[in-house]
Amino acid sequence: MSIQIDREKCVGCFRCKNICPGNLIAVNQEHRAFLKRPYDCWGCTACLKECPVCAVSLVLGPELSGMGETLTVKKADTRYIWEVTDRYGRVKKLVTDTKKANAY
Amino acid sequence: MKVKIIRKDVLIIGGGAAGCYAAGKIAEMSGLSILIAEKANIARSGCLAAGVNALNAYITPGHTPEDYVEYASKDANGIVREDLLMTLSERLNEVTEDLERMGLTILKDADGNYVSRGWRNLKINGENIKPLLAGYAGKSENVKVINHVNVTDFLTEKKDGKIRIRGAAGFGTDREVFYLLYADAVLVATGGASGLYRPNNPGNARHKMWYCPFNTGAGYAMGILSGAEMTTLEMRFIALRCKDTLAPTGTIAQGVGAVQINAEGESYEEKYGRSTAERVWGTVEEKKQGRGPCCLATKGISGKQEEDLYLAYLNMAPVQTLKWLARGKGPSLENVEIDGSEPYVVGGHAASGYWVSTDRETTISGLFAAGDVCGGAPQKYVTGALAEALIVAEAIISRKEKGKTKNSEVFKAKAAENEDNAGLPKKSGLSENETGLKAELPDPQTMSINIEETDRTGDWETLKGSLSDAQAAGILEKYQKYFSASESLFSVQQVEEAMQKVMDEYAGGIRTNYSYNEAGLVIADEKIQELQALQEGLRAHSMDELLQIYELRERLIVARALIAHLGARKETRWHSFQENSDHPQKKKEYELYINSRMEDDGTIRIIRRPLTGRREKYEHSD
Repeated sequence: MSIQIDREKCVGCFRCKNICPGNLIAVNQEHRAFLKRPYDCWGCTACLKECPVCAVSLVLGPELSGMGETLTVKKADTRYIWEVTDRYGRVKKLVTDTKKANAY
Repeated sequence: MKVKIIRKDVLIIGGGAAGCYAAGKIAEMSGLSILIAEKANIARSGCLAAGVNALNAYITPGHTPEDYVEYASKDANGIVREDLLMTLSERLNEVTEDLERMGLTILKDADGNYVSRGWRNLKINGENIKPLLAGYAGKSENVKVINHVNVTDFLTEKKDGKIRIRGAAGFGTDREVFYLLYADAVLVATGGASGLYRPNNPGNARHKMWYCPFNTGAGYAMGILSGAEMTTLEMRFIALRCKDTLAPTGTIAQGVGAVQINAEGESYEEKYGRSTAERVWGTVEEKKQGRGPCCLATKGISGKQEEDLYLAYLNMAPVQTLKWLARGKGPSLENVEIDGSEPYVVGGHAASGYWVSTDRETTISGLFAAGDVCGGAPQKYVTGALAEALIVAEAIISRKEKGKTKNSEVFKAKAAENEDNAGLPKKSGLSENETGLKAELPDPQTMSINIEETDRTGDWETLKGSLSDAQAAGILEKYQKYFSASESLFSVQQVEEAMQKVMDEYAGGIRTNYSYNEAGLVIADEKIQELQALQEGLRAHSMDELLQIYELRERLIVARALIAHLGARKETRWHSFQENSDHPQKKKEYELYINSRMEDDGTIRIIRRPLTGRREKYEHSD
């Protein structure tokens, strides 16, 4: 499981580094965050939710029968706006709201 | 390099669900000063990082706490501490209401009653449960949180043959700071242990596991090394999960009523039984007999149901939603394949962990345990972990009040001060991180007379020499040893994978369909000890590497104790969870607890104890 951090978007704010439950993210001298050990990532998405500029995405690798499909998320008040880009490049948007209970 | 010494009334190791809740409760109910030492960041650390799908332990109208004890005891084939389950079950609803007050969304009907899923589960949105708990802990002035500190060892003393806690030692994960944390009441709440066995997925997905891969068994390891008694480690927990993503299955099974079917389309659950262990076992057996893969039959669910599943999984295991959508085939078009996970040691689901009194005090006096690290009470889930934290909070406060007769005026003054502040806006920051470490000033009200230092800076020798606490200096020396070792031939990852291979092949991993035998355990024990020797020789170049070495060390210690426990239960009590192929049947003479304690020479002594009663108040006597 792994995340990708977009170096162009990253503003070096340390938020992903501070939130990662695995202590897996560091910030380099150019003030860009990077994942130290991709094979240790749990895929919990804490860093995706924390990033103020949506520079982090979750990538589905071949070990999980993926082909590089991605998930991103943007926070808006109590809502999360999620975007899945599938293997055909199609984008599906999903919205969850922490004020709304799961149906199941 | 710096040594930081902090003294508080209460030290909480691990700011997960139990740790955060205990901190908040103690602060709410007393004037005691509390320190949470957290390996990552309490806002998202531990197994609830991504969220949780439901509250799985709640007593709905028409049911009683006894019903919950009955259920958990039966599911665990009788090897539970009913006193622990009982005291926990009685508090489940109280802590649930507290969660709602913190801001957790719990589904309610038009009359304002909670909507349940079955008789003991509540529907919620648990995505933000961890930030809410962290906020609850952090709002009190009396709670100090230090994030990114990895606690490695307890500080103890032996008096009249009894071990007593004095505090704990650890290091910054991203800064050269060594922490000596003193308190005479300590709560260990570090979670369970994953990554002992070869995981389901290879390569970059090796940590795509169900249980948190960063819960490395630190609390168990520290306890084992300090001579604490452990119980029922052999009751491992194997999760039946969505294949590859290891995402929970209950939401699908209960949510859309999907049954488990084999490759021939037959529902097979009835054949094997419906206990947690039997559901895993049934799936294993079907696959063994050539009727795999097994699935949850979701094909044909409505578009609305599918969409609701996508949203539900985003709130707890987002990768499952990503997997469904990746190739445009959701659960309405394709059944969801299921599989067993690697075995974990986790006391929130199984009964493995610290052997505690009814008050959750461990056999180390002054050291309490709650949540996944605490044994005896399976099926505790999140609310059970919180109930245990509440029980510990009450026990610590009552203990402190008794012990503080001399300082009662101080205690009252602090409590009054706390009340005075009750109406005022509380500190808003959750915690401090490495950029905001304040100098910790000695608190004369809570410190003993021989208090020395706060911060000290210097090289290894200066720092070690400056410590009057020989045990603390010894721990510092151990850290130093890893930095000054000669370059090691092997990496941490290599030794870790070797450990997982050994456990997988000889101690009942996925490879052997979870079954083991004595001949294999003998080999496993020998090999794990060899790997411990390799681990001792590893070299750290940074604090990050020191963290990895210690995580491996913890896992190896837990693995050794687990092997001893697996060998001691000469029966098969729980299919898959503890499948002893030398003794494939359940035996009457094993209706007892298998406990253990590490002796001074490093051997693990097995202790057999009789089952305790539901209404009994258990206290340690030997």
